[in-house]
Amino acid sequence: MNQKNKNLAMVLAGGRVDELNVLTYYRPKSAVPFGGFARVIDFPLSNLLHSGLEQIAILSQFRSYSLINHIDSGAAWDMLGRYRGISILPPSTSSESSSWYRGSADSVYQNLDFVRYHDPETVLIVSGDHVYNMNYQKMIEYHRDKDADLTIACLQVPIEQANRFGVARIDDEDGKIGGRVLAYDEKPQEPQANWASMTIFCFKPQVLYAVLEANAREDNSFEFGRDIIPRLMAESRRVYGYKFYEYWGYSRTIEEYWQSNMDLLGENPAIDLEAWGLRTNLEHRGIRDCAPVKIGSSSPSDSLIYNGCVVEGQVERSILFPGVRVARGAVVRDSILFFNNQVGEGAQLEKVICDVNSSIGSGCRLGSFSDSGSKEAAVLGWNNHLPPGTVVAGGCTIYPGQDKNKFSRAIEAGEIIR
Amino acid sequence: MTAEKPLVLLLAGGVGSRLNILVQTRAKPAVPFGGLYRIIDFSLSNVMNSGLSQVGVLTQYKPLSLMNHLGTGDAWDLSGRTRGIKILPPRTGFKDSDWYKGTADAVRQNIDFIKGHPSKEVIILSGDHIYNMDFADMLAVHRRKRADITIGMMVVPLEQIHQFGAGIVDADERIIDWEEKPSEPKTNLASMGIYVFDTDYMLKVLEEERQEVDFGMHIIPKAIKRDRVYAYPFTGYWRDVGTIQAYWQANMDLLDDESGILPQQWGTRPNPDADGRAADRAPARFAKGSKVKNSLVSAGCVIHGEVENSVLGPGVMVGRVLWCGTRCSLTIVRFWMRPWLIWRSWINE
Repeated sequence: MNQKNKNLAMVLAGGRVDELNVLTYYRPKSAVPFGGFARVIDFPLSNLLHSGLEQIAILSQFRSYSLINHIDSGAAWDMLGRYRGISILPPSTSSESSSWYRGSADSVYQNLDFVRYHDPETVLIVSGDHVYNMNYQKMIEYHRDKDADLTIACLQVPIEQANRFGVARIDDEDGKIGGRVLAYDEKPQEPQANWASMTIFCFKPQVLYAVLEANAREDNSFEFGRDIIPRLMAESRRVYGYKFYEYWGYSRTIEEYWQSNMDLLGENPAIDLEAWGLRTNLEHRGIRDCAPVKIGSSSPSDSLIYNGCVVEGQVERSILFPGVRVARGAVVRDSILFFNNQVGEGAQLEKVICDVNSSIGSGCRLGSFSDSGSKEAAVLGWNNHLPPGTVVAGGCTIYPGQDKNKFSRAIEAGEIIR
Repeated sequence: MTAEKPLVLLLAGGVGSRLNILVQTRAKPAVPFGGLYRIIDFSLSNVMNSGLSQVGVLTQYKPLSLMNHLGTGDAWDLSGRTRGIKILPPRTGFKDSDWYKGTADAVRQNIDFIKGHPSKEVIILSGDHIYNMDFADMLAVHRRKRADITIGMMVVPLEQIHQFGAGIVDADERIIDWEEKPSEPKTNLASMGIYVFDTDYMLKVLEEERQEVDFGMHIIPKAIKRDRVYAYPFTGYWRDVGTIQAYWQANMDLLDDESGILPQQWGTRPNPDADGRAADRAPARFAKGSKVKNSLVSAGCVIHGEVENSVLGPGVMVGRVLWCGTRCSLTIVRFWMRPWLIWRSWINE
């Protein structure tokens, strides 16, 4: 049996995504907590696990410690073994050139020696920033069947939103499965098509090497969407679109992030973590050691609550990460509370996203409970300790670790405390 | 340095037949407890939190579930250059080898293991107790008293003492008299089945008294008359969960803040990776309309119906309430992957 892995997967996990604000203050987008116990990058990593890909590289740049800590040995995704492995590739200095990753394409370009060393038959490049469940193996099979140079996974989006994405016009060669990409535009002003790129690419290695080298030599911008795909289209390469019809959580804004979390809830959740087989690293933050959830006198409703939480107050339509404590008389509604948050007695939270290790004093009113009328989420960075009675309106942003005396007055809708 | 650390032997071989169907397919120490734990987790976590690092687990009855659960031992930091956990089943091919006939016999059949891990003391534990104890402190007392044997002991209600070995101590905590499972007890100071032995002393006794197979029944009563045997008094939460009633009650104690059982604060470590049963599960889902009160709910549970005063292991599904009457609720229970425990409090209350 040939034990050599035919496919190499590279996960783009370097970016911060400014719009996610304080949630990406200390961590890249891919390491943002999601789903009550996991991180965003767990979705592509679990997809890789279930797709049987066994050689993985993670391209990391912004605040990579959180990610390095999370990936650890890779054992959580069965990526540790004689023929299985995960490598984190940060920017590095070298004898020829030393620079930060100047874009997604440049991050792969700077590691081409790594790719060549593995000598794969197909290179799969995926973003680490999205929430979805996909069998990459089927896409790779399609890519091989078509003898494509590049295959792009695409998803239909409403045409009025297509200007936020790279959009492809795909012919009917294989009907519902996919087809040849006839035209590709990155974030077009007036989109002509609505098959959006999901930032999941299969490359023929020789084509990847050539196009990245040309890009590095001749261009000033180094992104797959903006530079690499248009180059291959201009060269009339065999570029195919692989059509995807299921859930895809994109979340480039706080509102979208909140909404994809809410997609975990309800009667028939759009995201089914058990069915998707989501795997995370339980060593990270020691969540493997947590006791079962303790529920006191008040029953939670339509919520996800992980081990290590103690819930005495009322929790509705919310997601509680390990170690959250909700005291008696408190109300937590439409909220996402990251690891180890403490909600004091009688505190009221509605549509609040609260990063790790924060405490909300007794009687505080946050989000829609502040009477401000704002429907936007209030976002708290980590290590904030709100004194009892603090009022924070919806749409506020509180930067990590703010001094207590900044909360001596009511925080108005949309304010930024930093 | 390693010789300074005592060797731990954990007795995990008993059938525990009073636990009924829970032990039909597994040894008592491997019986699930408190949602995410197994009974043996409490002893192993005590070992870890006491800074001990070499453990032999003596198994005999249905050890597969237990071996699975122990894994490499890394859940209790028992895997490394100087740290380890070994399963010691009965085996043939040695002089006198046979099934384990009792606690002392089991230890005697593993003398080669004990000699292979040089130590000044051997700590002998039982794998079926729920408690939190610092063995380092017990060891310090053992050394200070220059004892041959130190026995963990605690005061129990007089009507329960007939289940235990009972000791009478002098002012210095030296044990001067011993009764094994007395019907007419003179004391209510019970042995917890936790022993610190001076290693050389233990090897000598086991060699000299080859006919004796049980510590509590044979070795200890003789030693008291002859050697330095001390009590280490313990006052915290400790339960032998050897009967269904005691087992159920100890689980219910988890729901009572005043009961003194505090696995999270104690640093009790489960092994969620074993069998993939807990590690890969999503957060517990509390559906709209579910009613949950005073309960422990583990990851992977999905609750639509009513749960009250109950402990749910990972992956328990509780369907919608079909019918509700006074003092009676009927819930549909589906088990995920493998049968978990049916906690009697909510099946037919």
